[in-house]
Amino acid sequence: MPAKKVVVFFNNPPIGSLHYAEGLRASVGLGAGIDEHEVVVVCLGDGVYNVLKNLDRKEIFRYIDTFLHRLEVPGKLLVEEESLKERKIEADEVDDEWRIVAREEIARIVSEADIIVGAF
Amino acid sequence: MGTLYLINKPHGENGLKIAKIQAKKDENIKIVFIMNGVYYTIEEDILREIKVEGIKIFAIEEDIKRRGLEDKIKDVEMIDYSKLIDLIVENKVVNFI
Repeated sequence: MPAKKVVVFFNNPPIGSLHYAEGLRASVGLGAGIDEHEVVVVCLGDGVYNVLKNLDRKEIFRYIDTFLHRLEVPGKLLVEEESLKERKIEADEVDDEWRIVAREEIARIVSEADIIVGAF
Repeated sequence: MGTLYLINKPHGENGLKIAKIQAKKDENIKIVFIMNGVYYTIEEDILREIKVEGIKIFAIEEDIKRRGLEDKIKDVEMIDYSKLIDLIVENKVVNFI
């Protein structure tokens, strides 16, 4: 099967559930399998709380490191600009690993994707 | 192939925002309200904003009836789970369940 473009949406905040860690683990798995899918993680809604610079990441750091730096096709970590603004989160509060993109750009990425996962 | 958004609560509004933007450039966007997502169908402001973009709207009839909402629904095509499967097969699915 040829590699596909996959979008994974993170809707939940990071603490109190396994959505964040399991979502990252699944995203690494999608990118690391024999098909080496091109995977983009997008945080929106309350999912943007996952990108705060001061968030404790010691339990999930290795997933992010693998996702961004150790896959044959490096993953991308995106966060929706409008969701940040709605929650009064400034750009300088966002961890450096995440890129801020407008909702319109996310809609374009969805249009071009083969598979969209919105469960995390 | 069109794009089908499956919308449930509590995160469905995130999907609706993306769908509305996508619909400005793609006329083949559909939304199915499912499970607790059918409560969105009685929120007039949300429905109006979706319809303005020309998005085709469906809701699962069984989920509406179980919640006693059938008399409140207007201008939404009710479908059963069999029809939902047809839509899933025919479209690219964006899952906000």
